[in-house]
Amino acid sequence: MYRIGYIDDQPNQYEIYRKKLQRRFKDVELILLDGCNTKEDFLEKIYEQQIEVLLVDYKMAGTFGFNGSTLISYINDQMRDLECFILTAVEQENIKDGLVASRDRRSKTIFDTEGDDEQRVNELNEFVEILKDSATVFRKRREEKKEKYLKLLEMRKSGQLSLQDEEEYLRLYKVLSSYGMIEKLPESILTSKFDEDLKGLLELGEAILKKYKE
Amino acid sequence: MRHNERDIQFNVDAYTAKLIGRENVSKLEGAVLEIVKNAYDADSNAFCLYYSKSHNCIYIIDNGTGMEERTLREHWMTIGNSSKKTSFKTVGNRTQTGAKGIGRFALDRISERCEMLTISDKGGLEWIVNWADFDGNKNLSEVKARLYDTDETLKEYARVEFWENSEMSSIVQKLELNETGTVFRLFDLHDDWNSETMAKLRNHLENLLPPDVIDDFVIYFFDDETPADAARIVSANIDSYDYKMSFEVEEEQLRIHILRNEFDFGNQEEIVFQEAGIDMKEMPYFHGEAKPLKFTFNEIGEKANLIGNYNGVLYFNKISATEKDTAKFYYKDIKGRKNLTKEFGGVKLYRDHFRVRPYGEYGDNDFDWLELSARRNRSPAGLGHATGQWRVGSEQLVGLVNISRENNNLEDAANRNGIQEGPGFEQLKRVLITVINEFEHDRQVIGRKLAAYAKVKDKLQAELERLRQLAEERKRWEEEHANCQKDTQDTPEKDTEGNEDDNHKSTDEIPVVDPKEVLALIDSMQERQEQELQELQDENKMLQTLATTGIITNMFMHEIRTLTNNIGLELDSAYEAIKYDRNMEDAFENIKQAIVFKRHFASWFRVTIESVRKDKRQRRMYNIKEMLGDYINTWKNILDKDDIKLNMECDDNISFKCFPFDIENVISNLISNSLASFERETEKVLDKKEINISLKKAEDGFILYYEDTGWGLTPKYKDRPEVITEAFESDKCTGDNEEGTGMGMWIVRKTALEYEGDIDLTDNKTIERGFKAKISFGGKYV
Repeated sequence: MYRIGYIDDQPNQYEIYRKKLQRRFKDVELILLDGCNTKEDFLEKIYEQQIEVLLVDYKMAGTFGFNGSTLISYINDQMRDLECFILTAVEQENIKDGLVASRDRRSKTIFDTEGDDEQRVNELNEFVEILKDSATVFRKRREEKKEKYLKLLEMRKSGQLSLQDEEEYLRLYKVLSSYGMIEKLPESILTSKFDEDLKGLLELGEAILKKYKE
Repeated sequence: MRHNERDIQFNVDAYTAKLIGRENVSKLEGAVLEIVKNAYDADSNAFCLYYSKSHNCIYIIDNGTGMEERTLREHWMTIGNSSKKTSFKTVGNRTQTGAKGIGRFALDRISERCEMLTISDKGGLEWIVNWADFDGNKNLSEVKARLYDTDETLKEYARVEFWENSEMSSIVQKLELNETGTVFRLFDLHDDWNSETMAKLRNHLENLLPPDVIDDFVIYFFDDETPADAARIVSANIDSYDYKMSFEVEEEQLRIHILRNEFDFGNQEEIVFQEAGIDMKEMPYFHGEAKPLKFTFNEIGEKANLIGNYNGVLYFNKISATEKDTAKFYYKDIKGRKNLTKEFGGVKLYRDHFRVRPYGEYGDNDFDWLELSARRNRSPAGLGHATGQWRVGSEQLVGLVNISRENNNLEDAANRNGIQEGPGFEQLKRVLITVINEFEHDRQVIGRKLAAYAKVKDKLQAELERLRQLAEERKRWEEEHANCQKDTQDTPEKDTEGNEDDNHKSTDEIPVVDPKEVLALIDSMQERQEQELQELQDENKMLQTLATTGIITNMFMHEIRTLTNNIGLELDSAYEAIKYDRNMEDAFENIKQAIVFKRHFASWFRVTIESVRKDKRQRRMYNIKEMLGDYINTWKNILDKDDIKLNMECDDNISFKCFPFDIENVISNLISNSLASFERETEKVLDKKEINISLKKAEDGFILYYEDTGWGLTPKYKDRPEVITEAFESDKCTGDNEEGTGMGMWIVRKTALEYEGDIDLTDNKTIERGFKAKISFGGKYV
């Protein structure tokens, strides 16, 4: 099942979009990301719902203080691989903030197939194929990331991680664990300091044992 | 020496026969015309042409007399042998329109395969031909069509019951198709019958029949989607004109009736008639009575009538008229008039009620077949010109000329494209030009009198002219006087005598301009200038309002577009709920929601485009609270949907003379700015979205206090808020298309100034957030 996220400050039409996709594409699920107020909230929700591709309404500043394109820019800073599409009621080319490439903009009318109008249905089908393709790419990259994560984990165990590697390791851990691809651990044990502390603790333990044996 | 005498037969290659047909009916429009003609000639009173996309075929039905086997063998199947060659009249007394016996090739033009059911009094016959059989090296006699006896009815054969267009199916089922008639089923169509083709053919059919002439022949033309009201072909009609000229040629006589519908003298009619010198006997002709004229052929310079009897009607329509001319010539108002020739064509020719192309066809070389443009170029004088002849323009004249097969010297050209050139056709053109000449003469006689009258009537102009002449005389006298003095100084001995004559010239004879008269003239001139200026200002205001409507509609495009999208989505969703889920409850909910959106849409419509409604373009005294009541309530409803509160307070006793759209536009512009501010991307969220409007009475007008709880002006304008009222200054920067036109606040200030008021934005310098404006009307109270 492809998991498509949907963000809109006035999601009146969400049910219509969801039903439309459900009728036509059994392998696609449209998930409303609601109950969020900040960009961070939305990011958490994306992790929580294991979203693989995202649709975002453009005009939301009246409700959240930021528009869809700003939100996408933030999300992509955190999750480079998650492809995000902006949806708008006005003609797509009228968004001029330059934060989202024109190929990733769609009019909301894409969901209106005008009573099975052949051309409209084709357009929707093409768009959903693009979404599925984006989701597949996202999955593939996650797999790649998992391999990279495991490699970094080995290096970490042998104490070979540079500061840069350490940052990458933590970022990968966050994404992968959020998507349930690796076991989730308390954040405090992920740092090198924790390793050092643990090492110190073990050394102290050993010293105590040694002294006790003597 | 002759021997062995025998006959040898001419043979026609089947393919050549087909080619001859093709030559004669080369265009799809022509092919359809031939088929309609056949139905008309068969005395049918209904004709249907249905293109079924789903069946990929064309059904053609008529309820004419049908053909019996003999007619079918001897005429229908014999190329070039038409039953219509010899007998012109049908049983139903129609003049037959076809003659060459090639109409059936029209079917070949349309499709590859043709099946026909024809039912006459003698019973039904089915006839099937494959036009491809004509190809190859066969003699015509070798090509066969198949014929069967059948008892199928017309409706069964045309499968009316199974038509995709169910609305038309039920209409056609109700038509009188129970007895005789003909049905064609055409398969493997040669053309792409898309919407463009359909539209072209429809236009062709609309112009096929002359307006209001045939009431016993109905044409239906439709495809799977054509609604019933659009399927019936209605002849293009003319409902407004300045002049109507009907004419008829009977034996050696030409009668013309000229009907004037161009002038309106209002209640000044008698005065104008008297003062302009228009004969009182002419009066009825300005009130719906046609002026009759009668000429013999000799009188119009023709030796004899070469053609026979015919008639026609021509309409003259101005496409535009300046205000000055409208006043001068007492024209009726023609605002909004379209160029009829584009829609209706120019002067068109009909033979026995059917159009003869291409005469009068807009865009065709033969549109101006009477060469009216060249005639006008040779004599370009205006209507009021005292000596030059005014000539009508080719695009100002529409009409129709009815000829018949019974006429002489007007045969169809062999390629069915027009009439054969020759003495008959030339005479027809000359007679038409005579009719046009008479109309032009009639119009110009009136035009010249009215133009001369306008000059006399313009007292101010006359007075100005008198004083100008006086001034010139005075100037000349002064020059002469100066010369005399100079001469006197040069020759002092002549002085005394010389002065005798000149200086003793009686003071009455010296040209003098009276300063009082000059002052009065200047005052009058000023008054007139002010009047003209006021007219220009009013016009400017109208244009400004139209511009504002455009700007405001554009500002709210996002909202309007969202609503139209939503209405579409809900309807589509209802459609799918029924089609795929059989869920009536969901569909019902969707439709209910679409209705809610439609209501919102109507509200937007009310505050945008409707602001230029005619009744809002009247400047009169209004009670402002009453005037704005509905308008503000509509805004409240709209804003409520976005959790924006609009509060309005208005003194009860503000009476103010204004155009309602002016005040509404000011408020719309301010609200538009507030909405943009509420939606500005700031990374923060506003606690509340509120707009407060308060209108307080002032001495001669009122003050509008406006404030919102938005983000306020951007730093660019914060310290100098007045700059935003300049043209092309915009504070909207939401990144969406609404970057702002930079005209909104300019219009607000301009409107206030026009009402002797002003705008004050200084509060914005000090407030931390929000926007405030004080705008006065009727005086500079702010």
